[in-house]
Amino acid sequence: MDEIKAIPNARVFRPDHELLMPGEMGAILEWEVRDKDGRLAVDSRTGMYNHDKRKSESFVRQFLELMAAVFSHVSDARPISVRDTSNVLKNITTTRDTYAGVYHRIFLCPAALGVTTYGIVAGTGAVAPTINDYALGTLIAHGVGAGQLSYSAMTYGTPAADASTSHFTCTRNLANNSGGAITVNEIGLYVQAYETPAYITSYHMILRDVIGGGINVPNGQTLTINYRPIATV
Amino acid sequence: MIKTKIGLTRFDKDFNKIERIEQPSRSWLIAMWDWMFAQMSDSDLPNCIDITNTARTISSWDDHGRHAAWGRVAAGGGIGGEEDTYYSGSERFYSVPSELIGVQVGSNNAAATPSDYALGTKIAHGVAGGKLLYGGCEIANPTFSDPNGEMIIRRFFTNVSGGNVTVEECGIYQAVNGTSDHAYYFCIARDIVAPAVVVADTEILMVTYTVQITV
Repeated sequence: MDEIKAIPNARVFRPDHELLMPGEMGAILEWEVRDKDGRLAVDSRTGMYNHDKRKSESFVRQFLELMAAVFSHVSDARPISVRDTSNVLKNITTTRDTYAGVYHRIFLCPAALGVTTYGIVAGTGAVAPTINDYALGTLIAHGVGAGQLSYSAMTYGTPAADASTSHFTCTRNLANNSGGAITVNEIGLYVQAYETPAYITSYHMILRDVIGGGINVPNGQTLTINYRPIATV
Repeated sequence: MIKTKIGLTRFDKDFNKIERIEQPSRSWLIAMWDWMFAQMSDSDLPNCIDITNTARTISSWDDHGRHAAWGRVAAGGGIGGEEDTYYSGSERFYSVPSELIGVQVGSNNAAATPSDYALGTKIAHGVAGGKLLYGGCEIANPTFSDPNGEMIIRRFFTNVSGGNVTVEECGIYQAVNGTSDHAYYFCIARDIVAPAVVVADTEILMVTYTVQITV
């Protein structure tokens, strides 16, 4: 007689508001791994479905610095110095004396397919975050070579609110077509800003989360990552 | 995660501290995410409710160079304070009263909800009865000491109304680009002040929002 086995899945689904204290603002980090047929995959290491949801623990200093730049509407004359993802301090501005068809926007991350300079990014570094982190420990490159993941374009869910929370969602899919398994140990969010006086874009990490034990992404499977900025009253 | 605390400090006319209360801020609102969504996704977002309870379409940018409005919270203040919030090229189109942006105070203690679009009853800027003179709203340089960081948003309010003014709510208004040649104003935070703070004539009230991150 065939033996019927149920896949063990003892975890309790936790709504976002149960992950946050009243009055907290931040982000929920959520991920899942699906097979090539779109089915939720089982993590061979644990026998459990390969997904989880938790508080994003690690907004880093660039987040506050860029917020300060926006809120204070910093100008060319008094830019704010913010470290970019290549460990170089950039003078960030939100204005330019004369309009020249350029965009002075901050926090942009509508990354296209294959772009890893901004948007949700993944890495293999496992060192615990610090407030001064400016980049992932080791970014996983886009591609189909060994150790690489194929980054989709970023997508977004529009803001919504209920009686106690408000939020929106940033999503990216990372497909493993590398031929081997990849363990994602860290996830981050890189955003674009605007540098003066060169008037070029710069890139900055605002969030970095290290995943204890990592996320196992076997060849042929796709990791979907959601960052959901959220506030509770 | 991010935590925010509110401080309300009363000073006499000689700037001697009378009282300071602190409480957690509990009420970042959906307008904060509307703005951030538009920025992060680089898209227009319709049906964002501004402080006049009017649905607006906001944008991460436009081709009129309206960047002066973009996300701004800092403001000048005092009598005649105003802000340029709309440029086209180097040409200034119009300015708005500075008390439309930045930290706000009000007198309505109805509980906050994530969809609040304005203070319940804003205390108007001015020197007449029941009003407070809105000073400038400043953003202090963020400070960091691993694992913590914080940013302070601060505004002074002076009571020269001739009588007491009671503050029962506070919040933050932000200027955001629209898509139709306008800047609009949104309430991104609203908190009930409990117990209420009574600001006597000639007194000065400092309201601070301290945004804290910890890794």
